[in-house]
Amino acid sequence: MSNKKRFSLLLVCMMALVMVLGACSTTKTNPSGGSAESNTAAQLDQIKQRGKLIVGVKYDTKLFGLKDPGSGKVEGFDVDMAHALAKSILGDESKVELKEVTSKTRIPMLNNGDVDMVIATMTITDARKKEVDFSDVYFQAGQSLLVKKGSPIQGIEDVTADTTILAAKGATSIDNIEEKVPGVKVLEFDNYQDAFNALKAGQGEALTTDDAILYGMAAQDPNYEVVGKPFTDEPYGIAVKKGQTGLVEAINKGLTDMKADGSYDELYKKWIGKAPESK
Amino acid sequence: MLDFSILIEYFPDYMEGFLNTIQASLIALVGSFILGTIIAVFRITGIKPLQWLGTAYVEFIRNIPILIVVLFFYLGLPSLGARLDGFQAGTLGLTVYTSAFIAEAIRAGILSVPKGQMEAARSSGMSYIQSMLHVILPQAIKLVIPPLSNQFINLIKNSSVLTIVAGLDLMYFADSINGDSYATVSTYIFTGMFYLILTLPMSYGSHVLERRLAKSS
Amino acid sequence: MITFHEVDKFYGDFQVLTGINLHVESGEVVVVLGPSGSGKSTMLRCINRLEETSSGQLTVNGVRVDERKTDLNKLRRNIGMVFQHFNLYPHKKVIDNITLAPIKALGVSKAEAHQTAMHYLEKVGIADKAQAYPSQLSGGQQQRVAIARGLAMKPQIMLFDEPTSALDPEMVGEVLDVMKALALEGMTMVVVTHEMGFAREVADRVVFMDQGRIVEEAPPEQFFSDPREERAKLFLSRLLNH
Repeated sequence: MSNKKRFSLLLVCMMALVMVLGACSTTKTNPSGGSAESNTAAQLDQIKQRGKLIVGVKYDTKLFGLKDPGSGKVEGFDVDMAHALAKSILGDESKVELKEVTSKTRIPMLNNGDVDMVIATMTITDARKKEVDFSDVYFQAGQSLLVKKGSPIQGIEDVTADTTILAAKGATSIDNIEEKVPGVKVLEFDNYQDAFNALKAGQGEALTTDDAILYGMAAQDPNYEVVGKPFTDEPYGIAVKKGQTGLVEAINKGLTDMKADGSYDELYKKWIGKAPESK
Repeated sequence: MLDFSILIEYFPDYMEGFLNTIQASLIALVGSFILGTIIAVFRITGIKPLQWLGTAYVEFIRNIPILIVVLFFYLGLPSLGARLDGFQAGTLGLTVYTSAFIAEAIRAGILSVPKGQMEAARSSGMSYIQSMLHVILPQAIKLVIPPLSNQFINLIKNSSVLTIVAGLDLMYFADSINGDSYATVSTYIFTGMFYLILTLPMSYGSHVLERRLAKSS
Repeated sequence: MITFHEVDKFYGDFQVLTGINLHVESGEVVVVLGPSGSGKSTMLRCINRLEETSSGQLTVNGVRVDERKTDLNKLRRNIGMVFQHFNLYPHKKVIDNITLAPIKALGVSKAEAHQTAMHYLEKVGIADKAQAYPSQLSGGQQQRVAIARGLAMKPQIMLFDEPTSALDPEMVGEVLDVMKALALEGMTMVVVTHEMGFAREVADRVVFMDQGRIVEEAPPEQFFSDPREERAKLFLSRLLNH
C-alpha cells in the first residue's frame, strides 16, 4: 500500500517538474529578443574587448575542419577562414580559439554564447534563418552522392525508394534527398565518419551530403567515388547569434576583402585543389 | 524553456522511436537473461573449460564500452560475412553486453543458495541440469531480483546506444527531431520522459515482486 | 550390497579415510559411531559419491562407485539420503519436495508420483502437511518429510547422516520412530548418529570409527557392554558420564 503511495507521489513530482519547466517557457521567451535588439554590436564589442575570436568548427570533416589525431591540430578550409577573419576583425590571425561543434550542437552552442560564430559547413536555409543570422555565402557547395566504385548508382536519378541512403544527423541533406526521392530510406549517423564507416560496412548504398565533404572522403579511401552532378545548391554561410548584425557586417567585410585581394581563391585552391567557379 | 508543440508536432516520430526502444529492450531483456543464466552456470559447473569460457566472456565483455560491442556487430560482422541492420546489431550488442552483468548477478545468487540444496537434489538422482533448473535457480532468482532489476533498468537506458548505428530507437528520433526543430532542451526533456515511462514501472514492479517473494519464503 | 575395500580418501595432503574395509548386507542396519572428525560422515557420503574416494574399491549393488564411467544418476536413484539439516527445498510445498525427483529422474507420471508421495507421508505421519511449505513445519516434521522424500524413490538403500543432530530434544523421538519402523521392514540402512539408544535397539552391527579408520566392528550388545578397543571404551565412557 505504502509502495503504491510512493509511486504516485513520484509521478506527481514528475508532473510538477514538467509544469515548472513549462512555466519557465512562458516567462522567458526569445532570450535575444528585447535587450539585444538595442545593441546589435554587443557580440562584436565583446570579441574586441576579449581580443580573441571563439569559433565553432567541425573536427571530423576532411578538407573543412579535421583534427589531426597525431598533432592534435585542427585543419581545413573553415579553420583557415576563421584565422582570416581574426586578421580582418582583430588585426592578428592567431587570435582564434576553436571549439568543436557538430551538426547537432552548432545552433545550441551559438545561442548559449559558447561560440561567437560557427564556420562549420553550414548551409543557409530559411528554417535556420529563423534561429540564427548568416553572413554572405563563403563557400558554394552542392549535395551529391558517394558510392563504392562500380555501384549501379551513378547519380540521383538511380536512387529509388528501395535504396538505403546514409547521412549525418541534423543536416539539410536529409530533407533534400527525401524531397527528391519520396519514401527513400535514410539512416542518420552522429557524424560523417560514422556514416562513411556504415557505407564501408555495406549498411547502405550511398552516402549523401555536400560534395565538398564527399570529395574529402573519396580522398581518404580510393575505393569510393563521388557520382553524378550536384542536385542542390548548398550555399555555406557563417552563422552568428540572431540579431548581431554588427558582427555579420564585420564578417561580410572580411569576406569581401578576401575575395578582392585574391586570398580567398588561394584558400579555395589550397583545400579543394581547384579555383572556385565564378558565378 | 519547455515547448509542448514539439511533443505534438513530432508525436509520430517519438512513438516510432519509443516502440522500437521497447522492442529492442524486451528482446535484449529476455535474451540477456537466458544468455546470462547459461554463462553463470558455466562459471560454477566445476568443469574447467566451461568455467574458463564463462570467466573469459564476462571479463571481456563487461570491461569494454557497450559502444564498441555494438559497433563490432554493426561494422565488424560484415567483414566476417554477416550483415545485421542497425536495429539488429544494436539489440544483439545490448543483449551480449547486458548478459555479462546478468551472469555475475545470477552467479552471486546461485552461490548464496546453501550447498545442501544441490547435494539433496543430486543425491536423489536428478542430473546437474535438472537440479539447477528445479532446485537452485528458483531459489537464486529470489536473491537476484534487486541486482537484476538494476541491470534491466540500465539495459533500457543503454538501449540509446542503438542511435550510433542508426537503430531507429527513441534517442535516434530525438536527435532527428532536434535537428529539425532546433528546440534541443524540449526535445530531450520529452525524450527523457519517454524513458521514464519504461523505467519507473520497472523499478516499482521489482519492489512489489521482491516483497511478494520475501513473503512466500 | 555395499562393499568398501581398502578405501582411502585425501583432502589435499590430509588423509580423511584410511584403509576402510566394510561390508553391508542387504537388509542390514549398520550404525556408524565415533567422535566428531573421525570421518564417519565422509565415509557415508562416499557411498553415493557426494565425496570421491582417492583409492581402493567401493561397490554398491555390484556397481563400482569409484569408477568414472559409472552412471551416477542411476546409482543415486537407488540410494536415498537424509541429511542433518534436512535440506528440503524451501520454495516448494512438502508434496512437491517429494514428487520432484520421481517425476524428473524416474519419469514417473505426476499422478503416480503424487500417490506415492502421499503414501509415504502417511507412513511418516504427516499427510496433513502435504500442502504446507517446509518453513511452516517443525524440525522433526521437516526431517520426516526428508525421509519420505528419500523413500519416494523406492531405493534399496537409505543413508542417514546425523539425522537427529539438528533437532530439539523433544523431536528426536518422532524421527527415530520412523527410522525404527523402516528398519523393521527390512530396509538396508547405514546410519551415522550419536543416538546410542537407537544403535543399541535397532542396529544389526555397530561400526566405531576414529581418525579416519574403522577401529571396531561388533554387534551392538557386545560393543556397548564389552568394547575391545581402548578408544571405543574412552568414547563410550565420555558419553555415559556426559
